[in-house]
Amino acid sequence: MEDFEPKIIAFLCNWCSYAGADLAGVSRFQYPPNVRIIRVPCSGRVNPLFVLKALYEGADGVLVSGCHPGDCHYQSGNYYARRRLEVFKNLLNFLGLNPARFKMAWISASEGAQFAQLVREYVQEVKDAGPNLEFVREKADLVRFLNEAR
Amino acid sequence: MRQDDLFLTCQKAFQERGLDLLLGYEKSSSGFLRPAVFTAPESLERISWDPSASLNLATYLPRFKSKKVGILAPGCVSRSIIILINEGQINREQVTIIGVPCRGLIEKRKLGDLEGVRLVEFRDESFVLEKENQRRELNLEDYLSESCLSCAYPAPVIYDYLIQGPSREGSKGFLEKRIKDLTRLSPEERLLYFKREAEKCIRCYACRQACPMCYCESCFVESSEPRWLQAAPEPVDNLIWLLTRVYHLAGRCVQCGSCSRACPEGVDLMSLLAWANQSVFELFQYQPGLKIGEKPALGEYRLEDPDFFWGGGQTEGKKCCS
Repeated sequence: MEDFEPKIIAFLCNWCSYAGADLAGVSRFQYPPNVRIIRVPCSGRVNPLFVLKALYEGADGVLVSGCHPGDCHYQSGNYYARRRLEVFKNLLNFLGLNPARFKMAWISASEGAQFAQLVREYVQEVKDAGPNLEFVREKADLVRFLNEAR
Repeated sequence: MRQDDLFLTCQKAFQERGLDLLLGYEKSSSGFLRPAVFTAPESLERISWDPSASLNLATYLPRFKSKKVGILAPGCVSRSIIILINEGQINREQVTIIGVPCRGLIEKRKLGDLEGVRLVEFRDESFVLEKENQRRELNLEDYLSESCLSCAYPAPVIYDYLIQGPSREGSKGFLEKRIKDLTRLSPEERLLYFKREAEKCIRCYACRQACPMCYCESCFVESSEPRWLQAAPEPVDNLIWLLTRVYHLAGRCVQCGSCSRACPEGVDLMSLLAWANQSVFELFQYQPGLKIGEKPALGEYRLEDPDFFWGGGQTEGKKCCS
């Protein structure tokens, strides 16, 4: 899997993480180009269905990032997100999905370097995990076919 | 529990509270209970309650928002009612809860083919089935639902009237053990297990219809804009359906088993639901449906909640999601 370049969807909150990613760019911090960023108003906006939908449509990993606890532009959005996404992450892990498929992070607007580091780490994690075969519709049929043929 | 006690208490409740209708069960021709709506005190002669009931009656409550409704409630139903009140779906004043003792509910699937079978009676620890004039006595405990085998609150938590009788002892363990067994498997084996379960699903949505907490007027699964998943019962789509329903019920499910008994394909819904509840309990020490006035676990937060985010405070040493 040397040449596997994962597709990663990143849901970044408008006020911190998106600005953090912007800062990483402005400051010329290098990070792998595997992430596709989707800007959301707040990490509390992220419906866990977004994560499933991204995986379903072919993403190899999903990253959700928001303001650090206490820094939310809307006071409490990230606290709700924290509860919800942790329960959701627990469920995914119980289901047996590779833990690398979904990652949660806090990135502030001043943490450009940390954002670059996060993406580097995460891309490596997903590369190690390999392509998402478990959760994609077309590929799932293929995998089933291959398993049966074995 | 005596039949006349049930009848007289319900009749008394009906008249004292001026009810418009009362949700209960009546015997069907096969002797198993079916849900029934009683609209007059005289019709209450048919009301009945025993372990052959299946559906959680609280499912009907949000449909009767403008009516005064009475309802037969064992432990799980009373807890569902508490959640419906807490989530603003019904008013406490509008429901009259007639608490009934519960010895657990039987899982009809375990009885096999029920063609031509009639349920004759329930005894203390057994029940009698009849088929072509042949009678068979079965041990009740062997045929209880999985949810009832790990029910911590068989007796009603809140009630306005209480019907006396023996309840099952609160016992945890059955689903907890199943979860432990599943967590001992490797993630790959677990994923395979749940995929096999999801492959059974025919997407009839009986689980949703039978669930008192699935009261949304429009469900994500039928949304066309955005269309989250396909309507056809494909394995991955089924998995997303099951998973998201379970997530929506995390910290709200009372594990009544109504969905699991309603499922025509016998999909293992309970271990996912029990796991979701267990992780909500482990993370936030929250148990659903025990106190009126409480907010749902995922509808509130505390500053000191555990934090397993990258860059967060508590990631070192601890591990989220065992």
